[in-house]
Amino acid sequence: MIFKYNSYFDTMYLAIFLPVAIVVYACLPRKNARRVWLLFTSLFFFWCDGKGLLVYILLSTLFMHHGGLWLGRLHDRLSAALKDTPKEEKKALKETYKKKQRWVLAFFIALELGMLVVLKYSGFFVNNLNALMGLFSENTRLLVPHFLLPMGISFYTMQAMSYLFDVYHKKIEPDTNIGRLLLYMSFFPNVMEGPICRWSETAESLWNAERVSYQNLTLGLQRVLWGCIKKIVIADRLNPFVKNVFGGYDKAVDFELVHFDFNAFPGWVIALAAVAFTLQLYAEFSGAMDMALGVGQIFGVKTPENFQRPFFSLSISEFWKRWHISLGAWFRDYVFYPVSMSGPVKKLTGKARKKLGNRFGPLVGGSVALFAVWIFNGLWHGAGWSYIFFGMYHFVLILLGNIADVLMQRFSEKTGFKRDILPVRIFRICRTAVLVVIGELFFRAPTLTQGFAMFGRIFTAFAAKTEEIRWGVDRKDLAVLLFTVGVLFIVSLLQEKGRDVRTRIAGKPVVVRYLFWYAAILFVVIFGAYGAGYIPVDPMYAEF
Amino acid sequence: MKKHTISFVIFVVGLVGLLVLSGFVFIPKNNTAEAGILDVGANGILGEPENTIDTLFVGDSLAYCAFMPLHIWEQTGSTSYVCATDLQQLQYTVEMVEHALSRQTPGVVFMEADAIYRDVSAATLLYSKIYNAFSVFRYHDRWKNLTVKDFTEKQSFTSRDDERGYRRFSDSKPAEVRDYMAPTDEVMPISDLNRELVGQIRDLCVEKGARFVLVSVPSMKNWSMARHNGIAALAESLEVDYLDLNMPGTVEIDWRADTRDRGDHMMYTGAVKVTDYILSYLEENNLLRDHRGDPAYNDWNEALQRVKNKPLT
Repeated sequence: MIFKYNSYFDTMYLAIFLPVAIVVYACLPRKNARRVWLLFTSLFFFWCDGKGLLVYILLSTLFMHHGGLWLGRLHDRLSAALKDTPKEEKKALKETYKKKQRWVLAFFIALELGMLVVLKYSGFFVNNLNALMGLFSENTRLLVPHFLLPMGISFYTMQAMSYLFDVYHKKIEPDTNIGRLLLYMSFFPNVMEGPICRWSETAESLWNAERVSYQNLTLGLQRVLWGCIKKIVIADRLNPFVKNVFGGYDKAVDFELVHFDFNAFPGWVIALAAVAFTLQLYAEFSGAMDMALGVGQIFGVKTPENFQRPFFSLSISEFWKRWHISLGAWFRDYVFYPVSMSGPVKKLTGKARKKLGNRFGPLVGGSVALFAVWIFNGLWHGAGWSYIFFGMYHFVLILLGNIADVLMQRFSEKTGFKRDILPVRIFRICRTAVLVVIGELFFRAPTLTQGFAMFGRIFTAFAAKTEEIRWGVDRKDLAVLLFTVGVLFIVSLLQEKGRDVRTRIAGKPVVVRYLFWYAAILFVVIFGAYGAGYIPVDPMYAEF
Repeated sequence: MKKHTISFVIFVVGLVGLLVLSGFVFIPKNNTAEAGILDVGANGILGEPENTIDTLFVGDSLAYCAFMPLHIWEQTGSTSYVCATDLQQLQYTVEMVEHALSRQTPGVVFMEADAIYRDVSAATLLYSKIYNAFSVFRYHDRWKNLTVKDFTEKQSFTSRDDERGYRRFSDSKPAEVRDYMAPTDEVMPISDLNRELVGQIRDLCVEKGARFVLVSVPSMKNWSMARHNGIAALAESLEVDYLDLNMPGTVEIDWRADTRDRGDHMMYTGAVKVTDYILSYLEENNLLRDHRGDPAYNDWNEALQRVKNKPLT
């Protein structure tokens, strides 16, 4: 393999692949050539991940292309047929076509989803089936399949499904150009960790293949640098500590693998590690998004934001509207709405309204849809009970939050208690952050059982010795971390208050701007946790 | 647009200048661990007086566990050094040989062949060149220990490694004995890039008047007949000697006693056997020089004494 990279922050990507991709793109005078180059670089990026794995995204695009055209043809035929059909027969004709369209949609969604389920979840399902069969017979075991996962399969499968759903709902027109569809599916800055783009949002700007403008280039690079600070300075520097505490940290000591066990840590260290992991996850994932959006901007592509300062959220529900926004929006549009608008759930809501009133009644139907969302959300994050628990944990928290919201509203109306005053807001922000950290502890724990054990240890293990703990970070590392997290907090606070930090910097005199960027670049180069002695954190969302 | 292009070029030039300048600050000023040098054992060669090393060994961990310069000194009075590092990649081997040959004139360079089967890509080479051009990338982590001297002092290498790059391990973890060198015609392929890099190392040696020899030290875990065939073919094409100490009739390794980690690396007793074999090759080919009476080489005797006095670990 010519190039190998594990993340968008790999030197191979940053120093070689990306500059070549940008420079060649900028030098190409014709739009078509730029499109072909973007497509070529994207497929090459995929090919580098594993030659054979490219076939999956090609198949997925082919299904999406054919499915879209088929659905589009049915729409056209229906429109043509409706013109010559008497009014009283129109309803029946629409129903007939609707049924056909549903079958076509179901068929292609099954193909798209089938690939994902087989490649990603078959091992999990077979393992659980074996465990179940083991209850009845000791000798019956199915062979557990192991597949190599193509990079970003969950992301591009969701993009393909959203395209098919949108064509089905006539929100978008099906595209005959398979090249355009392939570029939408494989655009290299987004393919590893998202965001999950919608056809209506990005396809056009991608296919436009605009020339690289000075403004897009500088603003894009600015964002790439910001992503590097988050990932290389914060996430990677936290990595040894997080890995130490959460176990599974196999370190070659004298050529023998040493496994650190969380049982060696007192509760407060586990709690600290859960906070550190949450911070690391945020820095890594949002840093990767800065990278994706920054590179997208250089190519003139409009990519949706995936984060909006989630740690300023007042509730878990709000948190998920600010964290991994494109995933939440996908589940909202393609799971929550269809489930809550389905016949049985509507009936349930109607009955609940009668019994519980207009405030609590709608919560019942909404909860059914919410349950479906969080089961899928948990499974999307990984094939394991930890992830299902992670989904259910958030489902319960959001459900309780919805109920508490109604009760608090009543309470506020009766007592005049104000929920938007600063101390209450700060309390709610902190409470949300604590709940998020608890969820992430289970998310990161190697197994669900270990997750519970670690959580329990926070409240029970006070006496363990700390002298033997391998922290993985020293005081100087900690100083760098605190400084960088402080900068991240201030920038987030300014953005939260509506101040556009990026444009402000871009508006400064050239000398000030240059000095600022030199300082920022040297900051990453010097204080980044890379090179000998460091193990960079894996892109946490790349396998989803 | 022209204005923007000029402005952008000025920015990039300024950045490159800054990175180069900061490299001067961050690069270690001595070849000691305290000064922040990486691969301390291998870089100990920088502290050896010029033109005092007769034999050079390069390679990965298999090499630093198997070749014992002090044993060669004790037996023959000939000097040698092991420039071996963990998971050494060939582009780094080229660097090591370049650095060593810029100050030393060994008569022979032995290259342990395990690294030849380690993946190297064109991108890795470029990446390595970037690291070399801008030392700040390689030594950035020294920010924790920077002093005023780092801004003012020039590099001066004064440290010498007693073991001359060899790493002594005296605990044995026996391997399950198996015939890992079963005869086969299978040839494990070597990538073109790796062939080219080995060729570069050979050319460097030839240019400096050193014989270049490929060698495979015993390693049940890493070696096989297919690999032997691959390296033998490469040696033939490069017209260099190839010593495979995994082959029957070369070195009698007791896999229950001579390995430190179940057949992967040699422990002390295995290293003695390997070094004795190398000694016989050096003798046969008149590549040994005896410096025992020369006071300029006193440090070798002192180092030998220090090592002998150290308890085996």
